[in-house]
Amino acid sequence: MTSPERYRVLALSAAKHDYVPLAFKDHPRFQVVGVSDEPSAAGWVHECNERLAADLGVPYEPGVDAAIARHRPHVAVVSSEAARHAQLSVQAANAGLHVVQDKPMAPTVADCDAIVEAVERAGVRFLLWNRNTQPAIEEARRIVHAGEIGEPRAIHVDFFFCKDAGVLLNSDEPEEIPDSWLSEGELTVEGIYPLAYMRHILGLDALRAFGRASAHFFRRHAERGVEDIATVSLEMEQGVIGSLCSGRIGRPSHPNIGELRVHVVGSTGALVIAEPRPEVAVHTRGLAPDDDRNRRTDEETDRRQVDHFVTALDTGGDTLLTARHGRHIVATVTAALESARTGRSCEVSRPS
Amino acid sequence: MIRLALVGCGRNAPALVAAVTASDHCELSVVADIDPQPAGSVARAANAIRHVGDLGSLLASGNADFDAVIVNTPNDSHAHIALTAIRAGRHVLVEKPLALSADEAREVTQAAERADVRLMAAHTLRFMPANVQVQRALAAGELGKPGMLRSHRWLRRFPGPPGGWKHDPARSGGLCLHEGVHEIDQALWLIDERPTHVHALAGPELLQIHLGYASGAMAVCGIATGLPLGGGYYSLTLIGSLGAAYADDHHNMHLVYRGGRPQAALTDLRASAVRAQFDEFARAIGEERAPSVSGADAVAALQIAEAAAASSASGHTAHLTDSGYDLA
Repeated sequence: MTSPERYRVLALSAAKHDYVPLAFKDHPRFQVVGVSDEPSAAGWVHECNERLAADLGVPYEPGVDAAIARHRPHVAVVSSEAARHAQLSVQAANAGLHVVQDKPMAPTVADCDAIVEAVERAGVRFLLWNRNTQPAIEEARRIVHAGEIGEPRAIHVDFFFCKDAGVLLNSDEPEEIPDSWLSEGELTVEGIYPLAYMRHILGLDALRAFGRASAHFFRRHAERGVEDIATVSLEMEQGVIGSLCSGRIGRPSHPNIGELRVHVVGSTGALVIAEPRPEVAVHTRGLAPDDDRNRRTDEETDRRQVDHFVTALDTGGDTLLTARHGRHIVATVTAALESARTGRSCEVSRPS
Repeated sequence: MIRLALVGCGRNAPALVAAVTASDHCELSVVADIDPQPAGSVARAANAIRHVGDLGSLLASGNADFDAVIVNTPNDSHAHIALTAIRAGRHVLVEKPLALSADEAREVTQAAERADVRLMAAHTLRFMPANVQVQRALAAGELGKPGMLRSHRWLRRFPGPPGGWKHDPARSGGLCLHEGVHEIDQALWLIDERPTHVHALAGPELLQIHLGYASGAMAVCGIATGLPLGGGYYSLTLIGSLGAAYADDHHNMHLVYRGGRPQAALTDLRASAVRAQFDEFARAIGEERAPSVSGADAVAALQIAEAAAASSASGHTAHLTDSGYDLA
């Protein structure tokens, strides 16, 4: 079958972030044709969707089935609240659409299994949005796969955000950030990135996890019993030892947006990536303390990810992070958090 | 000036001699090794001081003109030599691990207390310049309450034939005791809380130790001992409730430009740390106070190292108890 000159994209909700649909805005192989969502979505979600539609210059049309029938899109981009990811992604896959979905894949492994089953039954491509196209990560993958450091034996990733998430523990100040932004733990939401790095660089999955997690900084995380920092030890395929440190570590904790670090130890060498992500530091007189000190260059990373996705669509090949990969990441996070609760290492569940 | 006897002239003895030579607080009087060749070589490097076969014969010779002993022998002889020195009334600085078990280390510690001599364990990471700054920031309250510690240390492959003592867990104590006590002591020092959980994973020339704390703090430490070339690599991150500290070779790498690609010029941080460690030992003796790394510190680190070894061997998490640990 001939690939279309431009794949039509329907954005399904932009409740949490708009960067995923915006990555398709000016790509020559995609045309964003509309924004849609279920009419039953919360009022604030409809407001977010309307803003995204305005940014994209397309209509906002509540009613997903009707929007699909009207626009006949090839691709759905799902950026709803995490709790609705599975519902919208399965709905899109069942309609024969390829799916690009924001993280986390879904709140539960069962939800992920439903997505895997739907996309594989429909024979559509699924991309879980990730940061694997960063140049340093790509280079690490190349070095490992070229055998330049021998057989991989251990991998570690630090992945920290230094943004605040509401007021600090033991503070009496009122919360200003809406509840909708603070509903999940940081490993749950952000754990995809370090785990996707491991998957991308080594091509290996985790088998068992030991985790520790705590609400160390932020009052609302503590009140909700969710983590803002976490450490995870991983027993991986082929005897590789993995670990990650991740979390939201508070604004004063890093001069840039946060720390990214990757270590890989091989049988004949080792590699280190240490960078505050691809950003440009800009320092000027009169900079307010809460001004961003860095200008992100994520657009380039996102562009490469979209380029890779269009190749997957054209060739029928795998995306950078398939539904099965995403499902395994959620299973790994689930095992780590279960371990943190029980004090014992836990097996990472495999698909039945 | 504190006069030292160096017992054990193995691979790292030249570095120790260089550190003592650079110190303003101590000097080397005599070296001892059962092998006369390295003993003679190290003695010549240390301004041609005399060398003998072992500590026992030195003490018996009536010519024991030293105040303290540096125990730098294979791990399985640390406790015995330390006890010999302590019973002779000498202060002792013992390479890590202080002994091959926490019980043995406790025996050495109690002997030093009874003899009223200074006992120090060579937990050198406490003297790394970057770590000193991190600990000072913590102690000053700048970082708030420690929440997460991450450290990685990569070493060159153990030199020598496969039959050497470092390759024999019965003599070295295995990787958890031989190297892991460094990271465990570092965690105890920086987080200042005894962990409740120890989970360790080991692979070929690899060790990962994961510590959990009742306060919610957590620590992940990785050690690799099989790097084929060059010096080591060291990296540490400490996340506190009010800020964070990042200490690592990578960010502090000095570059040399000579045309073509810039080359890394790594400073020898260990040399600074070893000298600072000797200075602290000598000052503690001179000031008649306990050294900053005590025998009790070494016992505490060894207890956790033993739990880590059991965890990595069994695949289970060790839950620390007052008297030891349970495997869950």
